[in-house]
Amino acid sequence: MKTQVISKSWMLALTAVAIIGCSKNNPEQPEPNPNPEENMEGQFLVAATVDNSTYLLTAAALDDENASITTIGQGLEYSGTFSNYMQNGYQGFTAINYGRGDAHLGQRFTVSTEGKPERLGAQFEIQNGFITAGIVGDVAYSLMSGGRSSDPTLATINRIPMSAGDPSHKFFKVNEFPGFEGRNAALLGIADAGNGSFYTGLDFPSDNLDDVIIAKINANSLATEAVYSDTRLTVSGGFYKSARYSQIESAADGDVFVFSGNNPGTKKAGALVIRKGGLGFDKDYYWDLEEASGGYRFRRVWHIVEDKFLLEFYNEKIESGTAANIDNAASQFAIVDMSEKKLTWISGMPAKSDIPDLSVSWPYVFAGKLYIGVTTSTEDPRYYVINPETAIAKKGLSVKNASSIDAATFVQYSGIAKK
Amino acid sequence: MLLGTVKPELIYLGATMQKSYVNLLPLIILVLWSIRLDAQAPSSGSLSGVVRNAKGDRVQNASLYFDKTEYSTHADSEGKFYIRSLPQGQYRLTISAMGYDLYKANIAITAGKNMTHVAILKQCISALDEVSVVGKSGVLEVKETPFNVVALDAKSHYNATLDVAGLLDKASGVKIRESGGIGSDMNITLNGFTGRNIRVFMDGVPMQGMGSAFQLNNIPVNIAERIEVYKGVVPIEFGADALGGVINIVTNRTRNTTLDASYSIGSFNTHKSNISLNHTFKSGISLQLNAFQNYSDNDYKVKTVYRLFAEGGNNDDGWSQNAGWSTDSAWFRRFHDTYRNETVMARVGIVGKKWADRMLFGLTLGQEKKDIQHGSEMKYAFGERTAHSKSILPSFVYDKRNLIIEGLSVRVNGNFNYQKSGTVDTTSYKYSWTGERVPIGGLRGTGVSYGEAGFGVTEFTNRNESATANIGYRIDHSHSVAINSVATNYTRKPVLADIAQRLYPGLPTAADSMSRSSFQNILGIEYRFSYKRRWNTNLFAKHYRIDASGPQSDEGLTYRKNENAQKMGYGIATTYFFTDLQLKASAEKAYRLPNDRELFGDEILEVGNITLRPEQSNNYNIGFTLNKKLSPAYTLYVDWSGYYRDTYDFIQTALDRIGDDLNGISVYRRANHGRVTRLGTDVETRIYYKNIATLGATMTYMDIRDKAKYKDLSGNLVNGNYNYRMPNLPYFFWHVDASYYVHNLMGRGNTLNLNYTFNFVDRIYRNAIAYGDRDTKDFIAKQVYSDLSATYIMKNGRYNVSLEARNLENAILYDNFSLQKPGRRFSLKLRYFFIKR
Repeated sequence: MKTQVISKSWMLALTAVAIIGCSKNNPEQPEPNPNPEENMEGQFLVAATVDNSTYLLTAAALDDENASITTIGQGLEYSGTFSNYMQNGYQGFTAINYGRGDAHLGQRFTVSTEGKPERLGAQFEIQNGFITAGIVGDVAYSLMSGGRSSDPTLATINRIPMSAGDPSHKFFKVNEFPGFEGRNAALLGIADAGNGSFYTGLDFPSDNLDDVIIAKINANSLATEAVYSDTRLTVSGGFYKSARYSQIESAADGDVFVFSGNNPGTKKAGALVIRKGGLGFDKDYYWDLEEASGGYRFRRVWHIVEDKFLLEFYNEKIESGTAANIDNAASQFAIVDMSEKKLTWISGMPAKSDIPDLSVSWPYVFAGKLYIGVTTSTEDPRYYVINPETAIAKKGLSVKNASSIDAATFVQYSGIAKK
Repeated sequence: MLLGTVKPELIYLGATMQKSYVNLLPLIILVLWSIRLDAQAPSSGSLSGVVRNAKGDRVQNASLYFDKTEYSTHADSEGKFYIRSLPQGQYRLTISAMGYDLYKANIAITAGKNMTHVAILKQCISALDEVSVVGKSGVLEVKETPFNVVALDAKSHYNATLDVAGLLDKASGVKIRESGGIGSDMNITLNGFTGRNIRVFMDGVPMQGMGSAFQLNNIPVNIAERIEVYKGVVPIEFGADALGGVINIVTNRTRNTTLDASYSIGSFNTHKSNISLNHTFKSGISLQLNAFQNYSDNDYKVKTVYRLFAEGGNNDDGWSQNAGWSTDSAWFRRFHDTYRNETVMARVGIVGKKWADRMLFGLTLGQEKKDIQHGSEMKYAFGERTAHSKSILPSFVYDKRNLIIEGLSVRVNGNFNYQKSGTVDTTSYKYSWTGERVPIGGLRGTGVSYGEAGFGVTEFTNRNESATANIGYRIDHSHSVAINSVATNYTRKPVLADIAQRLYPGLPTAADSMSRSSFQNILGIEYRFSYKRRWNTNLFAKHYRIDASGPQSDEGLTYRKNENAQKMGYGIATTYFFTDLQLKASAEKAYRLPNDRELFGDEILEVGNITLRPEQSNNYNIGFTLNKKLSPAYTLYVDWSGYYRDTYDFIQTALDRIGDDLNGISVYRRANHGRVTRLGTDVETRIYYKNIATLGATMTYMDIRDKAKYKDLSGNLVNGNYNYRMPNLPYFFWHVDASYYVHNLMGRGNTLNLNYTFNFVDRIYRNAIAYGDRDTKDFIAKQVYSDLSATYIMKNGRYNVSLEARNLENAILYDNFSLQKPGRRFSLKLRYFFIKR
């Protein structure tokens, strides 16, 4: 049985070149500091929605249960909402909206030198839409591919710099992945692989391929650097209606954990790892997360600290052999310690039954703590502060008069990009 | 008189009625009926006769009354009239009819006898007078009802290039909001209500579903005789579940032979023409034909940011730079906004028969084709997207006064609307306002890869039917009753493949295959009391019923659900006349039944909720009208109304919970949740100087407040906009107009009319006002603009030439955020009008 494949190709050679070539892209490596974020000066930029508009607010901290901010008379108004927020360093975020039949729009937000939320550049339009997005280095990327496009052999990637500059876009072939030539892949997720590359899950829905297959792609040249596959898991990627989420994340030490939420139901939800510098999946590492969670499957994955990750689980168990319904609610969370293989359900958060689906903000990790904004039917939307060691959530900042909290990011005073 | 003794009881009953429930209504009517029987005096006589003109032709529908009494009647369509139960004595009879001078005669009534009288009416002389008299009769009649109603005289605007919407915009309390030039999307706000809460009728037949080829903003004003705007409290004959009010377009109903033909040419290559023909043969066969056409390039200039396409499309590393917008706005001419529509309305039938005053079969055919220049915001320029529609609307109307027995009137109408409409959006290019275009990459997350907004060719058909029956009985001069029933039906059969493809390919659900249907019936009953023509009161009750059937999903399980809701609404409207002054007050508990979109969703973005209850509103109006001759030269007219609307159980999307705290889940769903109050005032004032000049103004101010305390259904989340103004509604607007007439200019019977109007609309915020820093909020700026027109009427109105200039200041105008309306524009209209009585 084939358990592991490394596509040996000229791409590998390119990778080496790219690593060397790209090292100059990060000339300012900060001095090692155990927790540099703790001493940073700046404030949090918080995006909240009311009805169909978004309000950008600032907050000094997200931790205080007794503190609150409000949208009443406060905040920068943006007429419209966003489906994806990408926290970009300490500069702000890039927010984009899945537009269905309409234009897919986006806007970058930051905090001005006067400490007020402001737009960074004009509203932009993503070319050809997107179904998945992520940050590589300090640039946001969105990606569209899949069987429903007029030319299923092509994907479109949009590149959105964290500046007032215009986004740009490029096509690339999705039927030329080494080992899978002639088959059209849908790309699920954009996970920063360092050095200007990203990982993405490959889905071949029409080819009866039921393995986990991931590619490492150079974000600038769009050259494939590597393709890895493994039969122990099925497709890596979260599904929600037309949206696709990454289930690949790097740990602090450079190991790359590849999760699979077992969307088709053919295998188990679980995780594998590509060790730092490794040329393929670690044969000895496999974790059955469906078993560890008591039979649940998950949709989205985020890295927190070290090799601890946050998983967003579906609220209901799904029968084996059955595909997850793309409408199923997923509002229960667990922290997984990959080396210890320890899954801890987050406690102290509102009950999953109190959280409507997709009413949880994009999680944010800052100064070693995990922040999740939660909209419930019992009180105003509020941040929860989660200690990754204990998985215990405590109430944090409350956002009054908001329909939901969508995202938060820390904007450093010195890091405010004004171009 | 016996009636005099009845008065105190009636007042008492009227007072009770306001407080009590409608189920007392039949009892009250019975009591009043018995009072009437007592009032039958043996010492009375009657009067019958006929109304003719100088040529001997019969004059239809004249109204007759005895001065300083409550006795009145209408001549029928053959000019005949009959008044019974007249106490013996001397009377002064007054007869008024459209196009004729007021007729006065002394009549003596003898007990036990029927007196006969032939009235010969004189035609009005001046065309201008004719226009105003012709308009006034119907308009006045409406204004004198107890309802809070504005009646707009369409006839005095026949020489303008106005469409019906343009005339409506002149009424107090009404604001028409358009998204662009001719043929653009339009919505009406009436006392702060909009969309689904306002119902539009043409001759009492609902216009809902008539299609875009036949809408207020393309129907020329010449088709209408008048437009009635009922605010808040709506008479039963409309059978409407409208919280905000009703707009009724009353078309020409003359039995004279008329021909009205006009053509206008205007800026932006705009051409409009209209022809109306009316003829009634001696046999009673009546023909009515209306045809109109609108065409415009709509190529007016707009100021907007625009898409930038990078030169060459690719830079060195293969990345295309073309997702940007310009930083500054620039002026561009609209290049893809051509609009055309053609509509023919024909009615044929018989009038003035013993068994039918009117029985007409109608057929309206309409078509429309338009280019779509942009999306929901102007910066998304489109270059090829188009929309089209075709409508076929057969209709039937029957009415008869005094059917079988004196005082019984019956009106039945039915209509069927069939509309086929669609959009074509198949371009492979993306456009900029600069006129440049680049090929679209060809990737979209949807079925078809190209197109500017909607991808592909979509076509859908709408069908709806409605039928109305109205039976009225005039018991005597003081009492009458009426009953009205309206039924509508709606069915949607989903196209499985289409939905599956659009939503989630490969994953159709049980709900996708279920048909949705709803049946609505509104039954109204009304009692009218009139005391000496001085005090008129209407009491009414409406029963609303809806039966809906469609899919319902609970906790993952989808099943067919049948829902039934019934509500009882009721109201009162009363008016009292002094010599120059009319006082009005009215109140109604009104409902609006959930529509198909709310019950069943739109199959794309909105999920329905079949368990929705009707929306409710308590509406109150007070008002007065003063019409006073200040001196022989000056007349003052003031119409004021104040209103309060408490609207609740609004259908909104709110956070909700299915099941209990332990096992339930939280969801977002459409629910009866919102509450809004509206306190407002509408004023129209006008001063006339002889028939030479008028100066008028209308002003509307509304305080529309969000009164939903909570955002969610369980009351845990406070609504931040509570007590703040509702967004995106014009709340303060006024206009001032002045007209000047030069009579007999260059010949007898020729008149020159100059008219100037100055308009103001205050700033409107796009989103809820409570939220966000005011400086960062989107808004529609204050609008100030004026219009000027000159009309030269020749040969008593047979030939007419008008010149109009609109938006003289060339102001940048918006009714909706970012959607700019046309700038300064001119038009010339030529009209020919022929009448043979």
